[in-house]
Amino acid sequence: MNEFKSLRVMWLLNHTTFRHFEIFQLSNMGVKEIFLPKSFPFDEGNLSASVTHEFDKSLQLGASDIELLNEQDWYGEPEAAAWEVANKYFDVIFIGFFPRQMLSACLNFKGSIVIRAFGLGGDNTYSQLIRQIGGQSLQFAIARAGGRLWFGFGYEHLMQCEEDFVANRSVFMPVGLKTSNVSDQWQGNEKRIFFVCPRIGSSPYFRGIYNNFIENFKGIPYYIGGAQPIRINDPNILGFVTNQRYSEIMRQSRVMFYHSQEPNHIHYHPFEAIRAGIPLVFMAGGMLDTMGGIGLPGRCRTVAEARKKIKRILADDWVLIEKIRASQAVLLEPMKPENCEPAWRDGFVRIVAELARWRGEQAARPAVNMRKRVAVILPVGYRGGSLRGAIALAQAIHLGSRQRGEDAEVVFAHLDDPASYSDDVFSDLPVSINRRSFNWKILTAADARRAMRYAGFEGWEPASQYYQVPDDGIQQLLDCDLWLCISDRILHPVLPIKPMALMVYDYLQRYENLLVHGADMPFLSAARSAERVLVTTEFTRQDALQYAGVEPRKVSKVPMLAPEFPIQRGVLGHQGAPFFIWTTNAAPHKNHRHAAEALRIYYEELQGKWDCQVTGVNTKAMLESELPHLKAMAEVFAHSLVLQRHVKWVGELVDNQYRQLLSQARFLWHAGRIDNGTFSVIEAACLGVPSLSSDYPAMREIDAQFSLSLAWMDPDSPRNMAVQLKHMELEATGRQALLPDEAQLYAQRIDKHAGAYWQEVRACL
Amino acid sequence: MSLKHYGIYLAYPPTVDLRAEGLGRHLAMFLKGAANLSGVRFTIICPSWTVETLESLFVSEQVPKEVFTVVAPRGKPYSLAIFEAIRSYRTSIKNKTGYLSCIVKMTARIGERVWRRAAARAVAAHHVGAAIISIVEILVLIPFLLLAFPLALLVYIWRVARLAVKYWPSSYFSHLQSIAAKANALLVKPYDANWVLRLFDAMHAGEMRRMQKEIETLADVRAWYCPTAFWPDFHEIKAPRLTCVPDVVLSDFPVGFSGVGGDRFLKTFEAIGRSIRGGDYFVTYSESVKWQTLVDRYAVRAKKITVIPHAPNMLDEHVKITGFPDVDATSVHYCQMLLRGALQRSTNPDYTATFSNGDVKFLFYASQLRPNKNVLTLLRAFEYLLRRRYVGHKLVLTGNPALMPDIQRFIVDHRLERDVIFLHGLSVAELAACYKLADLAVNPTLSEGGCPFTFTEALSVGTPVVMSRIAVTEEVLTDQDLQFVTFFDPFNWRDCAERIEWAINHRNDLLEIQRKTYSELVKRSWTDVVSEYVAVLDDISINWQSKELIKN
Repeated sequence: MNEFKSLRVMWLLNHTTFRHFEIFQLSNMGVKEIFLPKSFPFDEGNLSASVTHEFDKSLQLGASDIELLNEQDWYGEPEAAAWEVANKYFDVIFIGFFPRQMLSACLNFKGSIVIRAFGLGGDNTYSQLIRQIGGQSLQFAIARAGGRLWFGFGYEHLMQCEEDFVANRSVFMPVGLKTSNVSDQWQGNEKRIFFVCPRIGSSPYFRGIYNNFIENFKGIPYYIGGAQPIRINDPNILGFVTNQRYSEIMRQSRVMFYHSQEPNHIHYHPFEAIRAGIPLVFMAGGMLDTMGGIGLPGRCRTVAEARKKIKRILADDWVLIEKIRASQAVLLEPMKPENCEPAWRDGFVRIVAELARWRGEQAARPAVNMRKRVAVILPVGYRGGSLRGAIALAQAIHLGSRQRGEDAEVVFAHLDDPASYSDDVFSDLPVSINRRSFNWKILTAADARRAMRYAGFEGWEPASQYYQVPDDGIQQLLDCDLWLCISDRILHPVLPIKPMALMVYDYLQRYENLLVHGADMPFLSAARSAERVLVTTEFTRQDALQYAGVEPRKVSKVPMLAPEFPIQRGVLGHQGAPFFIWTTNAAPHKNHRHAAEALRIYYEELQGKWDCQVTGVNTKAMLESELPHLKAMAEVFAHSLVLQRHVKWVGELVDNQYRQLLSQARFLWHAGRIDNGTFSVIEAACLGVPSLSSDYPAMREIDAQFSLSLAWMDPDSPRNMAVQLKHMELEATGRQALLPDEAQLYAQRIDKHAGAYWQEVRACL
Repeated sequence: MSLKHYGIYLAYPPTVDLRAEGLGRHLAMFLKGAANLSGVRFTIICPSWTVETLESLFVSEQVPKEVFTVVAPRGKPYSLAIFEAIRSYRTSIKNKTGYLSCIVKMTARIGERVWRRAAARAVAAHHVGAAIISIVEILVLIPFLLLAFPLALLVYIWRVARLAVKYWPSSYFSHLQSIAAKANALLVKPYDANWVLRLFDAMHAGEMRRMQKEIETLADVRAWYCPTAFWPDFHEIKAPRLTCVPDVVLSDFPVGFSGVGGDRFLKTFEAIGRSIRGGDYFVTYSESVKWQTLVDRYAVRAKKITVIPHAPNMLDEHVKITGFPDVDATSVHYCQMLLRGALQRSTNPDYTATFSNGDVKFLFYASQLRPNKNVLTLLRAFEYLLRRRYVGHKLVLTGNPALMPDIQRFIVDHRLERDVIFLHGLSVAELAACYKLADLAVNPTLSEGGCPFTFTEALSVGTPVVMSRIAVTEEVLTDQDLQFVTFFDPFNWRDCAERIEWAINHRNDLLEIQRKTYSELVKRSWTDVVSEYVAVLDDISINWQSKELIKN
C-alpha cells in the first residue's frame, strides 16, 4: 500500500471531480506528497475547475519553494526556477491534453510525464490533434521525452485508434468516481426530464445539443442543468447551482436523459445520476454501451423510443422506473474506486519502473559532451550590412553559450555563391564558427512526406505542394539542433524536420510598395510557423504581432547588435571646407525626392553653407537611373544649379576610405523614411560625428539603446528637413559633446548582449 | 386588464434573411421591449416566405413568444418553393461527392485489395495446391473488375465531356458555359437579373394581396405599424396606420447609390415615395429626418410626425461571463475565441485563417458598406495613421468590399489588404466580441436615420468611440465636452485621423467621459420606446374612430 510513499507527484489539473478520484487513487498507493496548481486558464469551458490548497501542508518542501510553485501558470510557461524545483523534488507529473502545458512539461521536466486523456468527440484522435494543434514543436518535444512520457487513457479502448507513437506510450488509468454507492434518497416527485447541457450560449456544440433536445422533447417539461457562462433566456435553464441544490434536483427529478452517442467520450453526470438513484434514459451507440449498457431497459435506439420511455416514466409507470433503476447500477461498476485500483496500480508501477530504469540508464551513461549545434542560415544572398548583422548574430550565440557555460557549436550557412561569398567577406567570422555553403533543395510534397516519415514524424502529411530544405551537400544541416534563419525571405515552407527560428529585422512591405500583393504570404507563414521570431526593435515586434500575426509568446525582442566599429575621436581634426555626409543607396524607402527637395531649399532659400557628399552602394550613378523614385530626385537636381554645385556624388567607398571621409564630416545626414534603423549613425558616433536623422520609430530606438542624442527631422516635410539642416550649422559642434562616451559605446558590444541571444536560442533547443 | 392588439406589417420580398437586416434586429429589440408591457400584444403579418426566417430571428434573439403572433398567408408560391429547393440542392451537392463516383471508388478499393492478395499469393505459390488457390482467387476477382470497369468508364467519359465543355474553344460550348454561369448567378443573387426582379415583384404583389385578405380578418387589431416605408401596399389597410420612415438616404447620395443595387433600388426608392405620399401618420427616429426629409422634401405635415428615438442597443449580455474567479479575463478569452472563428470567414482567409495573435489591436467599424457610410474617408485616415504616424492598429470592417468597387480599389491601390480586414456574416456574439476587443470603435457615417447604435454598442462592452459630427448624432450626444472629444468632421480625413490617434492615446480618459453619457442613455429602455409607439398608435386609433363616427 505504501510502496510509492517516497515519490512526489504534481497533479497539474483542476477538474474537481477528477481530482477527488485521482488523488484518492494516488494516496491509496502510498503517495503522500502531491502538488496541485493554484490557478487555471481563463477559459469559459473550465466550468468544472476549482482550486484547493489542502494538500500543500503535506509537501516536505521549503515554504519559498511551495510559494514559487503556487505562483506559476502550469498551463502556460512556468518560470525556469519553478521547473528546477519541480525537477529537484518531484518524480511524476500528471497533465492535461493542453498543447502549451504538454510542450512546457516535455521540454523542462526530467521525471515521468503522464498526459491524461479522456476521449475525444467524433473521429478525432490524440495523434492527429498533436499534429494539428501542437505542430512540429510539440512533436519534437514528445520525441525528446522518450520513455518518460505516457498517455494515461481514462478508458481502455481509446488507445486502439491511436498511431504507434501514442499507442506505444499508453497506460490505462481508468476514470472513476470516488464515491459510487447508489443512494436510496431518490424521490422523483418533480415530473420533469433533467438534462445536463452547459455552455449553451458560448459553445456552438452545446447550443446544437440544446436545440436538438428542445426539438426532440417538445411538450415535455424539463430542467437543464450545467453552468451557463453566458445567460440564456429560458426559465427552465438552471445555470449554476450549489452542490446542495444540485443534489436536491437529482433527488426530485423523475428522469435524466443522456444524449451522447460518442463512442470515445462520456460525461460524468450520467454516473452521478445513477449514483443518485434517478432513472437514466440514454441513447445507444455511446460509451455506456461498452460499460455494460447494452440490453439495459433505459437504453434507447431512437429518439422516438427515448421519448416514449420518458413519457411513460413521467406518467407514473413505476414498473419501468424500478426496472431501469434496478438494472443501471451495473454501469457504475467500472467507476468504482476498488475496481479501478488494480489498473491504476499496474499503470503506476510501469511508470515508476520505467522512470527508475531511465534514471539508472542516465546515471550509467558515459559522460559525453553533447554540445548543441545551431545553424545560422542566410537564406538569400545578403551582402553588406545584412551580412555583417548575420555574422554578429552568429558571434553572439557562440559567445552567449560560453558565457553561460553551455558551449554550443555554431555553423554559419550561406548560399553557395563563390562570387559573392569569398573568404575575405568572412574575415570577421571567428575561426571557431564553421562556415558551410548550401543551396536550397526543393522537395515535392511526396518527397517531403517520405523525408518526414524517415525522420520519425509518423502521420505527418504535407500541407503545401513544395517544401525547401538547406542542402549543404553533406546531411542537409540535419546535424544541427536548431536552424536560425536570418530573415523570413523563404518562398516555400521549410521542411519542418528541425526546429526553426527566424530573425526578422523589419516588415518594410507594410509601409512601402516593395512587393506585389500576395508575395508576402510565404514570409508571414514562415514567421507564424517558426518556433521563435526574434526582432531587434519594438517597432518590428509590433509589426510581427499586428501584421505578421505571430503568436505573442513566440516573438522576442533582443538587443540590436551593431558591428564593432573602431572608436576614434578627433584624431585628424577637421580639414578643409565644412561638409556633411549623406549615406544612402538606391532603395525606394531612402526618401530621395524629399531629400533632394530639402537640399534645394537648404541651399537656395536658407543659404546653406555646407556642402553635401553622397556615399553608399550605387550612389554614383543614381542621377542617371531609370527607377521612378530616382528619376524624381534627378529632376530636382536638373532644375537647380546651386544643388549641382554643392552636392558631390562620392559613390561607394571601401571601409577605411569611408571612415576617413566620415571623420572629416561635420555631421552625418540620414534621410531615409522607414526601415529597421541604420547603424551608420553609430559608426559616425564612434568617430565623434553627430547625426541628423529622419524621425521614425526604429531610429528612436537606436538613439535610446546607443545614447546617440540624434537631432531629428520630419522625413515627410522637405522644408522641415531643410530647416534642420540649417540648424546643424550652428549645433553640430555642440552636439559632439552629447555623443556617447567610449564606455557607453563599449557597453553595446556583442559580448554585452550575447547572453540575451543565447537565452532565446536555448529555449528552442 | 384587457389586451390591446396592435399589428406590425412586414412585406419583405422573397429570399431576404431577416437576421442579416438591421430592421430585423430592430424588430427583435422592439418585441423584447414589449414583453415588459402588460396588456399589449402584437400581431405580425408577413408573407408566407418570411415566417421561417422570422422564427429563426426570434430564436437567435431570444424574443419571448408570449408577445406576438405571426400571421401569414398559407402556402408558399410553388415557383418560389422550386427555386429554393434548387438552390438548396446546389449548395448541398457542392459538399458531397457524386454517388456514382463513390460507388466506383468503393468498388475500385475492394477490387484492389482482392487483387493485391491474389497477386501476393500467386507470386509466392510454390506447389500445385497453392497455385490452384491462386487461380481461384483471381477468378473471384473478375466480377469486381467487370463491375468496376463500365462504371469507371462511364465516369471517365462524363468527366472528359465536362472538361471538353470547359476548355474546348467553341462558341457553342462557351454559349452553354455562359448559360450555366448565368443560372448559377441567378441562384446566388436572383435580384441582379431584371427579369427575375419582375417575376419576384409579381409574386410579391400577389402575396401582399393575400396578406390584405388576412388583415381583413384581424378585426381586433386596433392600429397597424409598418417599420419601414418600403411597402405602399400598407396603406391598403382600412385601419389606423403608422409608418416609420428611418431615412431616405438615396436622395442624399444619388450618385453614390446610382451604381448600387441597380433598378431594384430605384424601385424601392419609388415605393418609398408612394408610401410617404400615401401615408397618414409617421414616426421617425430623429428631428433631423422629420424636418429635412418628411416635412421639407415630402411636404408631410409636421403634426403628423412623431419622433421616437431608439433605446440603446447593448451587447454586453452576449459576452458577459459569470461564475468564474476572473470574469473579465475569461470574457476576453471567450471573445478572442469568437474573433478567431470570425477571422476564418473574412474576405481574405489566406491571411486571416492562421493569424495567431489573439491580442491584436484594432479599430472597428460595424456597418454595411454603402455610399452614405463614408468608408473612404475612414480608409484615407487609416492609411495616414498606419504609414505616416506608425499607428500599427488594424482596421476591421463588416461587409463585403466586392459590393463597393471604390472601396475595393482603394484597398488594392494603397496595399491595405493585410491591414484592413473585412468580416461578414457576424453573429451577434461575434459582433459583441469585436466591439469588446477593439481599442476603439469608429463611425464616420454621413447620414443615418437616428443616432447610430455604435455609441451604446461599443460602450456597453467597455470600448470608447469616435464618430462623425452629424445632426442626428448631435441630437442625442449633446454634452459639449463629450462632443469635443468624440466628434470629427466627416468631410475631413485628417480631422478623422487626428481624433482617432488622440483617442487611442487617451483611451481611458475618453472612456471616462463617454461613460457618463452612456449611463444616462441606458436609462431609456426598449420598453420605453414601445410605450411611446403604443401611445402614438392609441392616439391615431382614437382619431380614426372619431373620423369614422363623423363620417357615419
